[in-house]
Amino acid sequence: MPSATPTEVLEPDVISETSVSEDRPWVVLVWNDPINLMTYVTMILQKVFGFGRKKAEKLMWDVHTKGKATVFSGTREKAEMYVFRLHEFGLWATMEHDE
Amino acid sequence: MPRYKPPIRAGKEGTLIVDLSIDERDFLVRICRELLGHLASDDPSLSRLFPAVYFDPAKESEYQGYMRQELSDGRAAAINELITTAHDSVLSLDSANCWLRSLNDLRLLLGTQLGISEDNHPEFDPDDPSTRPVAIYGLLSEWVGLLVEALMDHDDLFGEDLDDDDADDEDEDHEDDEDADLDSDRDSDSEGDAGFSMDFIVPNDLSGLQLHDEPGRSVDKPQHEPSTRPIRSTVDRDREIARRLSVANLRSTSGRRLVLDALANEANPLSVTELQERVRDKIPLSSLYRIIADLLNARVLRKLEFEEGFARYEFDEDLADHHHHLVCTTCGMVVDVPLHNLEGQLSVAANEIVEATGFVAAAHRLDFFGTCRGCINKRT
Repeated sequence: MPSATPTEVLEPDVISETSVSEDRPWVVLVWNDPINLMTYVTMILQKVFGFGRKKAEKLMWDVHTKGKATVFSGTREKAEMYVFRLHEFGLWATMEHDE
Repeated sequence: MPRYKPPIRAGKEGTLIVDLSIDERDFLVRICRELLGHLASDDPSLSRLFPAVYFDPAKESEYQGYMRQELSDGRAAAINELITTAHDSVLSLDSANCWLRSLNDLRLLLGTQLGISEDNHPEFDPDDPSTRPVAIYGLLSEWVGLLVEALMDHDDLFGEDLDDDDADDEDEDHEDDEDADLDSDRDSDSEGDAGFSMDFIVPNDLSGLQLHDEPGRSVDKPQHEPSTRPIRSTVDRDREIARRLSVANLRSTSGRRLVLDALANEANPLSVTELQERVRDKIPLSSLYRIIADLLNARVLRKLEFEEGFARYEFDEDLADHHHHLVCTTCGMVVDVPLHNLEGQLSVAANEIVEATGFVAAAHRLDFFGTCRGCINKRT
């Protein structure tokens, strides 16, 4: 199982889960990968989140040029649901606390 | 003017039209079965399909404990739906989504195995069998690209639930003539060619897939190349021929090359007799027939019959510019003729046919029978 950590380990998770989900939202990140087609990534973002074409294209472009993009921010449950759907379509998605 | 229709495209009212050959469909089923078997394994390359979600190991372990199986079951269901509908000409959007997921899964695994990265794009070499997975990867990319385009044409689908089940419009299962009359001679020369196998997807260090967070990296991401059809240059055509032979499990033997060269040097379709004259005594007649059958089967050639009692052969429609034929019933001469002004109207007619009858035309053929100038001059 490859680590989901790109460069460094996040700060220790000292805050209890409930207070975390209340205080800081969870974010879903999509990471760049060299295989998925750009048009495919755009379409999946539209499909999973209901984004319009332009918004999905902008996010895809962020993923591609900056290496990652935040595609969702909200409760842990919803974030998990979106990560799951992105994984269903082979996108490289992870989740973490918003800083 | 819509002269070219992609083999996978949007159809009417939430459907996709699929024009793939029987060979391509059989190939799809084969690799999907292998993917199913692969999913059931614990091969490390599967990590790409089941990425980690949390940085925190405890949360990650908890998440995978209850979600990984569900993700795996969903993948298997999508692959099985593709296998079930692999030979259909019309797909529901739900089925098309299963095709999309499964083909993309295959791309991800194969691309990972090939070490595809921003800086590494392996090239396909028709003379090097070890590069065959590159051709397969290219083919999968083309199909995924076409599926995306076709699905994007159905703007209304977004947000739909994949599991909604109305995949019951499978009553229109027509195949085109060329495929239908070829079943007899299939795989007659497949010995010695290793078929695609998920064995290609060996454990890999996933170096091409490490998470990136480096600003200013190369933005040279592999993109879906526009479909290779219609073929305009002979280099493109040769590459496409090599790809089709590879898909059909056929090698580029000297006999096949002689036949293809003979046709490439000819502006018009050739009969077996004419072909034999051109390849002289290099190919015995029985082999020539077998080579033609193989090339038809691989969709490199197509067969034309004009009620003369024998067939003529030319490059498959999409390996050449779309054209029609002038057939002289006096001397038997056949000449290619493009009719650009007509194609738009024929395309309109095809749409009217779909609306009126539900019949989805995959291709058309229009030939003119009459007397050539030479024969008219002889008469007068």
